[in-house]
Amino acid sequence: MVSRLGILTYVALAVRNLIRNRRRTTITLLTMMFGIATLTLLSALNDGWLSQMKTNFILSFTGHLQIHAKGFEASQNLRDKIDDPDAISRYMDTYPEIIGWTQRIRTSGLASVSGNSTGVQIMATDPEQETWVTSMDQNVKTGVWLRPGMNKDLLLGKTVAQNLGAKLSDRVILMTQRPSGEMISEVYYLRGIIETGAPQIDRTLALISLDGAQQWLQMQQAVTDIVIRADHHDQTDTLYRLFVQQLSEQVYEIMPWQELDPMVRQWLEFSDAYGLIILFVVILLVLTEILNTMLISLHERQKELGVMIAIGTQPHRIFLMLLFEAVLLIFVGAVLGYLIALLVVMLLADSGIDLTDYANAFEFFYMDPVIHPQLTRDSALKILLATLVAALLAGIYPAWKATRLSVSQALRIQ
Amino acid sequence: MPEVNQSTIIQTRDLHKCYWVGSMPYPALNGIDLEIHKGEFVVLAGRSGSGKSTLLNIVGGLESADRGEARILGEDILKMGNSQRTGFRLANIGFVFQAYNLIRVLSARENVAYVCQLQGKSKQESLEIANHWLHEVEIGHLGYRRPDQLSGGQQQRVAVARALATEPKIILADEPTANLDSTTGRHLIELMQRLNQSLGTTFLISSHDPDVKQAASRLIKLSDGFIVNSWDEETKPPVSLAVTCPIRNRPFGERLRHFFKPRRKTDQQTKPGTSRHS
Repeated sequence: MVSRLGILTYVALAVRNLIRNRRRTTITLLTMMFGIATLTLLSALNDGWLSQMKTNFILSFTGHLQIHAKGFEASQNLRDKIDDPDAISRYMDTYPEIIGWTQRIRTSGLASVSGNSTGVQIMATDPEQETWVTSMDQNVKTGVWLRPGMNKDLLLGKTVAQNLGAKLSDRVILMTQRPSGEMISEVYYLRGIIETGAPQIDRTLALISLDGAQQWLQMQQAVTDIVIRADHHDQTDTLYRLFVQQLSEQVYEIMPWQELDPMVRQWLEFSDAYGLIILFVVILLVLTEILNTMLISLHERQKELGVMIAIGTQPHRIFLMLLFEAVLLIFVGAVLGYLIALLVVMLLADSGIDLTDYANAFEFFYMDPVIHPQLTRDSALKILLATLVAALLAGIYPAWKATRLSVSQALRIQ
Repeated sequence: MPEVNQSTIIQTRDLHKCYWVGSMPYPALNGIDLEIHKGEFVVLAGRSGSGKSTLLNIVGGLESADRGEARILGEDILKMGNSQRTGFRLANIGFVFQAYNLIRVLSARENVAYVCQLQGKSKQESLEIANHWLHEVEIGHLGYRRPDQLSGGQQQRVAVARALATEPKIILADEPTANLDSTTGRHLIELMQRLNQSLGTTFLISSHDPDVKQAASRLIKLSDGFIVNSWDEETKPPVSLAVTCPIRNRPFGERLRHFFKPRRKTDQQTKPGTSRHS
């Protein structure tokens, strides 16, 4: 005997059962909506500030990908240089994922102003090309950005300038070593002060023009870094693979942004883990609430379920019906909660949430004081999947319990 | 296999059932031997606690027995698995309960159609059958009402229609008139009698309603788990708890408690030379 009671009948039964207990259903739905809305908002905030952090980190200095001569990142020695950067630069126009690239020289040195000295990270870059890769030009808070052809222009990080007591137009003497090891010094003029918001940059940066630096350091066309900016963070891996295929591992090291600052990477990983913990806790709360509701509902309907089995409903069909109820309740609550969160995210997306008063402590993590929540597809899928799993978990136990019902005892309930 | 008369539709042999309330055994059935034939309108009578509902539940496959056999249409329902028993009930047995027990979220016709759909009939066909049976029980015009919009008598008629809709060979009714006023109860009994005569469906009804007893083609009286038609209540044999309520049939928790229960020696056991049975 094959029952003709299809899924729709059980969905209809589940819906009617939920409607019959309006108050309980409403309270459960509100809990679900609140839980999912909170979860989605937290996730959107997390994704928002993580994305900002990534962008800030990449745009402040690092770019998405850097190519160095093999061993440079560890040695920071000018002898580990790329002698023919144009051989690499020709790839830049062939990959549409690249929206900007620049060449740099990085070395450590000493800056002195009127008897004050401090250690600096001397960075030489092409003033025009750099603007396609990072936002350093926009971070010049005082003075002007490097001017093309002005080889004596110097920009200092805000803290370096403060430590040196340097003001705009001051003569600043930079001292460093050539690749040969010869100590050299040169006079530069302070044209601007940069404030990136990342303390480790602001307290060490001394920025000069690439052409001038190559002459000063007698490096001809050689550079230490080729810095690449991708169209989107997600394309970093693609570009990394492309360059790994094209360039010899014996001669070059290709480093994505995650490898260039392990601390930022660890912080992002921690944030991901933190997001997962939040997801787990909220889902656990929601699951407990639904489980509670379903168990109460089961208790109240023991007699009715007993009657259904008595008149010929197979227990597995009772199981399906109750499971439908749980899934339906959670699905509707999740969709409504998600829509509420979506609305809030849309309202806050432009203005963001201003945490200026609290953000100072996190400045060195490239965090913006204004967080713009952002709903990503990955997070939405994660929440949806977790909700579905919670629905099934919350539904399975009461549904299974219903199949174990003693019909005769259920029928005796008054 | 015991000999089964062609017309025998329900047959029980030495049926025992004991309930445990904590560590106290309550024998509900004490070796019931019963034969009911096709087309009979049998009423089980007896006081509360006499075992009527238990017998009905066992015959209907809603409950297991501790001992004995219950053959319905020649098949021992006690030897069937849960799923098989559910299928057997759907195909052969209709139920009418004291408290009507309709599915609250379904209308009267949907309640009746539900069992037809369980039997594999299409929704349309099931609804047509439901309409037919609701007319038969004289509430065809109330098909769209939900149970909470019907009176007790009307709900019980829906329950009768639901029980008949699958064209079962047996209808088991547990105190069907207990929640109804006497007039409504009488109408219901007349209706069941009429259906019994016109359809030939066997009815086994438990009741202590005099009107129901009067309508019976055969009255079986139960008392303390015995059929007492053949002897007076005072002369019925004593209950042997060892037979009716064997320790192995206790609920598991009770058996554990019994096993770990500290056993104190009585004064009589500790005094040497004292007989335990003195």
